[in-house]
Amino acid sequence: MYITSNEIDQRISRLKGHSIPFTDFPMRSIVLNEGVTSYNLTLVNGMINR
Amino acid sequence: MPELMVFGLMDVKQYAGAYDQSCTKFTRNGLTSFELSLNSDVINGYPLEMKGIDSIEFYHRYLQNTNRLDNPFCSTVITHAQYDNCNFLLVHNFDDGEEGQLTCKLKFANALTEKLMLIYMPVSEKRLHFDNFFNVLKQ
Repeated sequence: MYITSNEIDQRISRLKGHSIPFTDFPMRSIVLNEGVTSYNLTLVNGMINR
Repeated sequence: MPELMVFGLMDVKQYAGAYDQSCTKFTRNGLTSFELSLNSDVINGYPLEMKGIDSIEFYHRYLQNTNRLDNPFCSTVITHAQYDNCNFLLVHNFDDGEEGQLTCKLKFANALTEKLMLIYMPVSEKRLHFDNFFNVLKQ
């Protein structure tokens, strides 16, 4: 670990035992092949809200 | 916490980064029906279908699920034409803790003449947790 000052050290220490919320939005894609009019696709298997 | 999924259709060239095509333009590409199923049961409110040449069902659902429908506090709402021409996105909000196999069924007016991409983006709130030794855990 590289600490440049006490202030930064204190700021990093504040993270100990805490958490930061963030919004996760992974982009996924499925290729639809030509020549067909109807597609059945599986998007997610398991917990959806994870 | 709102948990949602966004769907869009795009040319393979667009997705690959063609210089002459926008990578944020989503059009209908001849889609006539969209159905979401959870564990083989069709989710309430689906399928979304075209009314002749009118995509009002898709537009209405988009506004509803993005909290723009009849919302006086929403500053701008895209028009039906703007939605059809370049913002054809499908949005679904999931209830908390839903689990299982999520499938979708797409129907097009005509058989596709070239490959198309279905882009989908599950949006969820997560946390990065730091323990006392600064080990990071994604929850």
